[in-house]
Amino acid sequence: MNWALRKAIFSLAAWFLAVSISILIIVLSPGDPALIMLTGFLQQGIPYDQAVRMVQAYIGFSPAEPWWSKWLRYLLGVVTGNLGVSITYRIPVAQLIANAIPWSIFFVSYSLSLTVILGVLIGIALAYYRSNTIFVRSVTTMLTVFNSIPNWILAAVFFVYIGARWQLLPYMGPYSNDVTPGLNLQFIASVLYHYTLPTMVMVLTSIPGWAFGISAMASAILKEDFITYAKARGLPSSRILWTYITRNSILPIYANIAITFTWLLVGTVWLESQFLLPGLGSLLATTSGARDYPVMIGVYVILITAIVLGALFTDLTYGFIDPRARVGET
Amino acid sequence: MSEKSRNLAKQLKLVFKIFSRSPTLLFSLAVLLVYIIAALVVVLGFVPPLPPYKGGWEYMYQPPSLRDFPWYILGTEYTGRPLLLTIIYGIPKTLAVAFLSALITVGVGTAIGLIAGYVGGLVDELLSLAINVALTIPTYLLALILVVILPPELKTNVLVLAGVLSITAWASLARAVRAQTIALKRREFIDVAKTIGYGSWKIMFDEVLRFMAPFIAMNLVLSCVGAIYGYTGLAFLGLMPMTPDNWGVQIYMAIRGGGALYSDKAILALWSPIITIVLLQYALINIAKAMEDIFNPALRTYLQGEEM
Amino acid sequence: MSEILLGVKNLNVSYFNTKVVSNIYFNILKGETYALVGESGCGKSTIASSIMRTLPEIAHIDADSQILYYASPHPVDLLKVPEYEFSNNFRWREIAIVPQGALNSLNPTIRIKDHFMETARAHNLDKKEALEKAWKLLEAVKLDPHRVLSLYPIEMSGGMKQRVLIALALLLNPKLLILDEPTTALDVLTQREILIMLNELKAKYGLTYMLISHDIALVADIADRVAIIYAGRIVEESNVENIFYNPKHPYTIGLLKAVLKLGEFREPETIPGSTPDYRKLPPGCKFHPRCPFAMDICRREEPPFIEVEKDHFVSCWLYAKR
Repeated sequence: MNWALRKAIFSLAAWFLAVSISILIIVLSPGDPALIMLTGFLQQGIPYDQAVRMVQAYIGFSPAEPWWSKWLRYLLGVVTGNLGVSITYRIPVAQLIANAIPWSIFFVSYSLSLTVILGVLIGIALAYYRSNTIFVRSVTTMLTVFNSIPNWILAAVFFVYIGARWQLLPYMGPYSNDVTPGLNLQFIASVLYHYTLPTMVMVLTSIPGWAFGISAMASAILKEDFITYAKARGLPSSRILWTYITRNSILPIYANIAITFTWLLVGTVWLESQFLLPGLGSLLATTSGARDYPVMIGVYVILITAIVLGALFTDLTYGFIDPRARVGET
Repeated sequence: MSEKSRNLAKQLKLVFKIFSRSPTLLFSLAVLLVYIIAALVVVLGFVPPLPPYKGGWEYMYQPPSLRDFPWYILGTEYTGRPLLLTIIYGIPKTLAVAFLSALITVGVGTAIGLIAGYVGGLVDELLSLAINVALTIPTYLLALILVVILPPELKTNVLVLAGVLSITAWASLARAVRAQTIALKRREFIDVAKTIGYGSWKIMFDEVLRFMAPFIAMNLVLSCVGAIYGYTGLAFLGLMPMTPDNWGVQIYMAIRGGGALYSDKAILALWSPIITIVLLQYALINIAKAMEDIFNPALRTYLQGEEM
Repeated sequence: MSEILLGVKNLNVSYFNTKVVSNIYFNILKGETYALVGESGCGKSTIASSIMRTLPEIAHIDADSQILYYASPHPVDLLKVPEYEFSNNFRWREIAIVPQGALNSLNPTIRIKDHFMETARAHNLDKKEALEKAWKLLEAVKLDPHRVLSLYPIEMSGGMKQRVLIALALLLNPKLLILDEPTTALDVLTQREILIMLNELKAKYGLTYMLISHDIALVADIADRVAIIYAGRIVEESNVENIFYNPKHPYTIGLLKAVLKLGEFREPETIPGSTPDYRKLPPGCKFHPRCPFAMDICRREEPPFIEVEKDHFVSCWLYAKR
């Protein structure tokens, strides 16, 4: 348990530093959001003192304060859960975020599971059937093509064609209008249906990384002595494929789950906004356009938190999965 | 021939061998070359200047025509300018941002990795902390916020854009270089003990850089890919200055302003920038993969063995 | 007169176009320890892999090579048996291998118990029986079953893993056990223990051993008959006394001279030259570039394999009539 605690503390430190330094960069950059907000209010004819107080209410710090004061004040807010108030929606940022989080968690988890499962399967197949050149070459070409398409471009193309023009799959909103939200089957089915197209985009653009990684790993594993020895003992190919090849190929790459998780999370900025899905990504995208700084920075902080938690979770669960990791920690 | 130039010749021969094996790779190189030549052509002024902005429905998304060949063969885009010309005008800036960003990423990453690994001690601890923090912050997230915050005069500056797009991207390379430097440092200790510790700094850096050269080159190319993704992607969100030479802006406008959802009017304006981006990324990724192969010692020995 | 258990006839193995094993003929008799001796890369492990049929895909065995296994009532050519039949009836049941590289032959992600159980499952052995057998075998190799069965390979020393491999090999009571470098990578003390244990096990379970080694001392200790291999060919074959006290082939003599006996204080004499490149083997006798007695004919023709005295065969022009 000792090592788990140590990892958690390091994560906390990393999180704190990441957030602090980010806020510092934001506060120090030319184009101070507080100043911009202040200017905006002044242009609307609001008297100076009132404008200053409004900025303070929205973002948590006054534009007149020195940078370190702004910085510390915002950090204090983060730690106490006060992320300011949204300019466009006039409700606390924390509330907006709380509504958005479940959708993003769902979207990212759904995409992540499919990416890893399909990516591993394809990767193992590529290594195992490497003698079938047609298979390998066609799959590799397809994967390379999808690897080259930025996910937001694929999202736009799918939106325009599969969605708007050909009407093959729902392409706007998280569920259809005639369904009541709640823990009922129709709602869940509708949500899954509406998320099919966005998830397809996420998965198609994320699988190549996994497939290539696993394929390289598995190709190396195939040359290992323990594979030959398993064959010598007469073990069936299914056993060798799963317990020998797949298992040994996944473990070194396990940490990539956190990387993919981060990548998907960042991708929601484009994907959720393209398909009009609620979530942290679309929240960030729309409020960025509206220059709603409290929300932008708040969402940013939450995303960093999610990333740190994702990495921590991956690290902690790795110890349970790989026997070799445990030996080092005792 | 001196030892060094003989080694270099061997390396280049190896590189050539890898590149000539795969038609995809040759194609990718050709594509990149075409883009670079196009960029040079624009910068040197061999293309006509962009005509002035022509707003209004009559000029937006005109179908292809043969006038003023070849610039109107793709029709016009949302500012009424010839689409082909506008796309080409986007190449130098995109390549500049991409390449500068890659240089910053790789330069900073290598430098920090080397220093952290070699100097060790407190400096290493601090730099490692910086690396870990940077690893936690996805580049595009912070870049997004910065791009929104920064005043317009900075947002159009190529150098600033390059910097913003590489703000934390250097971290993973720094980590790898640091690990390699530490590994070499341990070995070097034994060697240095034998020789006079004269210029061991330089020897160390040379060793690390020589060993990691293909890896660093691969990172350079991949950083370009990432920068292009960010530069066009953030534009697609409407967060960059809406200049027509940004392919992301073109795609954005084709969907929202050009009605690509319903009509075929803006189809060319939708697909031309898409193909331009995807083709470039495809070429760069293939080239990066080839560099990874060079870095693979098993493949190297196999190919070198063929010469014997 | 002992019966033959395994007969290798005209074994030729190539990787792509490079021949690594040529015209190998030998018989292993029931109950003996037959040793293949040679430098690294001379083809001994390839011969073992041919018998176990674990050669990589790029390897090719000639169609007229045969590996005859003398099960009742008729000998079976192991190379011609279909794969599933070979896996079910011969692998591990009749012939097992203790592979080279104990460090890497076990699956790092499963426990030792799983290694035993999966082997048992693959051959339809009853679970309880298998566990009991594993227990007994681990005790026979001087390991604590209660502890070892629940370990992962990474938690074990080289010696422990080597013993586990030996125990695993005996799970289905095979008749022939191939031991590929069983003591390399072990310290001298452990080597000794493993040696003693191998002798005990052989007697206890009535095993026949095919021993592969480059360690002359080990071979001298436990082998009955020895074949010296060079460049994929057998250059000398006889019982262990003849090989050690009356070696005929210059390579064998060189090998023996390179090993110091206890009490000897001299520079070990290495054989001049280096191991041959299989893609560019010289014509004639493959050893002639390094042979102090090389004659003209050695450079032109490969010597025949002849019986120089009773049960003592050599392939060398020094002894063949021309």
